[in-house]
Amino acid sequence: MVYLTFASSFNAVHRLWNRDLSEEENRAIYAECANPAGHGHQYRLEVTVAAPVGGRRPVVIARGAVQRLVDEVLKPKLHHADMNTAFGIDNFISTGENVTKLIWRLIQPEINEGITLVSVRVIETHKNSFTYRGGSEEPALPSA
Amino acid sequence: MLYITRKMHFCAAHRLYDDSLSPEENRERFGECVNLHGHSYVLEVTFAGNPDEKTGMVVHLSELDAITKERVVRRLDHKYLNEDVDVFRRDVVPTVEMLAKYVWERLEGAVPGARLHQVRIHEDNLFYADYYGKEY
Repeated sequence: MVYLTFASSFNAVHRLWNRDLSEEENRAIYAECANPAGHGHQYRLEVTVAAPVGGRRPVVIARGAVQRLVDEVLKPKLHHADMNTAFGIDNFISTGENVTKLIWRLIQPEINEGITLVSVRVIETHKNSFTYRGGSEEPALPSA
Repeated sequence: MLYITRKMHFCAAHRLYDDSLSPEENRERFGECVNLHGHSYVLEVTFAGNPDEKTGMVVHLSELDAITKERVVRRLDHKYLNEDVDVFRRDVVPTVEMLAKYVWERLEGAVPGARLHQVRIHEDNLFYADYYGKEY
């Protein structure tokens, strides 16, 4: 297998807020990230897929496949969107963790036959990034 | 276990074209990549090992550079991959994934005392391929 990573970015607004908590509780947990107008990020997204390269020819052309997925499935939903509502989930708490998991769920069913989704990484700022590899188990990737 | 990564650059031309397919099928499969074009590739090779007690090194970087340059970089840099590199002349399509596999096969076992762990090739700043050998 070869692991291919395609990067892109989208700009979006979000506000960290859980409707089930009080104003004070939200403030205590999310601090300035709970400000009413929200705030924005240029999210960088890295989608990694695995594809077989056993033969003489690549089985799938992953660059095109992943690029189409990002351009046609994700970008229309997320670019210049409100992350609190973009996924259509009530009271969605748009932390980097939750956004990363939902991006995985959006693209996983759309992955072409012959390639496997390995990880979704969302880089929220140059200090924060989140990686989801599906489920709660570590994948069988060599560690480094 | 310690991992050491060295970064190198090479520039090369290629086109993605499969001779067993029609021009229309090639266009469908590879899009504008059927046209001759080039990339400034960035190659990162990662070796694993335990540091030598005397030198404190997994592998001497100048030795790593010399081996990688001889076995890989000089064969790819400023070349037309489809014509100038044997494996790609024999109808292997020179995608970045096939290039990563090529580099792995040229470097595996070539550096004494260090095990090749990962080959990463960036085609540009949006797309890269990682290869860890055929068992992964």
